[in-house]
Amino acid sequence: MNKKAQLKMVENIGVLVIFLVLIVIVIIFFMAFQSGSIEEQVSEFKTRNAVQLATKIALLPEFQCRRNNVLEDHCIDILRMNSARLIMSDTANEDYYFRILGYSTIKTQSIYPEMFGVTLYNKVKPLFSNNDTFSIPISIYDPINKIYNYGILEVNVYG
Amino acid sequence: MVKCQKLKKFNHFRLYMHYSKRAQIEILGIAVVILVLLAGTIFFINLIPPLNSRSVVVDVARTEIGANTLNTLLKTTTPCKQLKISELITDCVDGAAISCSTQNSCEYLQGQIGIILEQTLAEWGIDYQFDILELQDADYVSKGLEIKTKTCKTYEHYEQILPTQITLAKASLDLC
Repeated sequence: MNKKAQLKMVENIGVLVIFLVLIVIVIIFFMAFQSGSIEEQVSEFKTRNAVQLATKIALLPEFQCRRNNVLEDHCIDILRMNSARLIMSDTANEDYYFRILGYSTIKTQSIYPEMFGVTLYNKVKPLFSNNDTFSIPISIYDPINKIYNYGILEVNVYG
Repeated sequence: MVKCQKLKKFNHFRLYMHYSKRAQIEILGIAVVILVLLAGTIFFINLIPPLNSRSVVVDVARTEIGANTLNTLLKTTTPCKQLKISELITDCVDGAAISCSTQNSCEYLQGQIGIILEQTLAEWGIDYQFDILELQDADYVSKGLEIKTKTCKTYEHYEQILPTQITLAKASLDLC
């Protein structure tokens, strides 16, 4: 009878050990899965910020093209852009633009037919841990020569 | 004798009941384990994202890129007589009367659009198909100027209709 009880106890302990091992395996698997999912969410959040910022820039009245006083979507006027660049870099307006654009670098690059690049805004976060870049095609209009260049608006957001 | 038989029967019945109850408990235990395993499996299946799934943010970003690429492209001025790409497309569909250096408008367009898309979409790792179509008998027919990195199996489609002097032209862009 005593031997039978001992056997029973060993059996119970065995079952408990197997059960615990199974739980540990499940927890490890779950943690690995969750950490991947969190990284994915962080990357998604950064991309969302960059996309939002690019859309915001394309619609800023400081840059937007106008033809006969009608606004054109996703078009940057070169003359306005050059003036805005000076205004944005002025220390008196720094806070205002920081509230809109935050820690980011915004560049435009014309790739066709003319090739040139301009940095519109540059505020790098001190000791930033990561950054995300998003580029969208945009028209860069030269009102003097009446040329629409095919350009890229590149937004780099620091996190 | 009868009493002894009765007692034997009773003992047998008690033993039977004891084992029967134990078996029931064992079966119940197995059922609980199976239920827990099932619940765990369903939970993990729910956690695993489906194949080829893309987040809303990525979808929005691609839509922005696709729509802007086509709009910006059609608006762009070319070095050929300072004409826009949309104007060259309408000329190409109407019979390619305009000549750009040694090429007609159709050949010229193919080269120039190829350069632009190569420096943007291809550079960003996005495969594409671009085509110019013309309206013939209520159907859009390709002009045979397709520019592509690969043939898309599934794609997001963007298009713009351009009226020409004779018919309608369609600029079509598919992102794979």
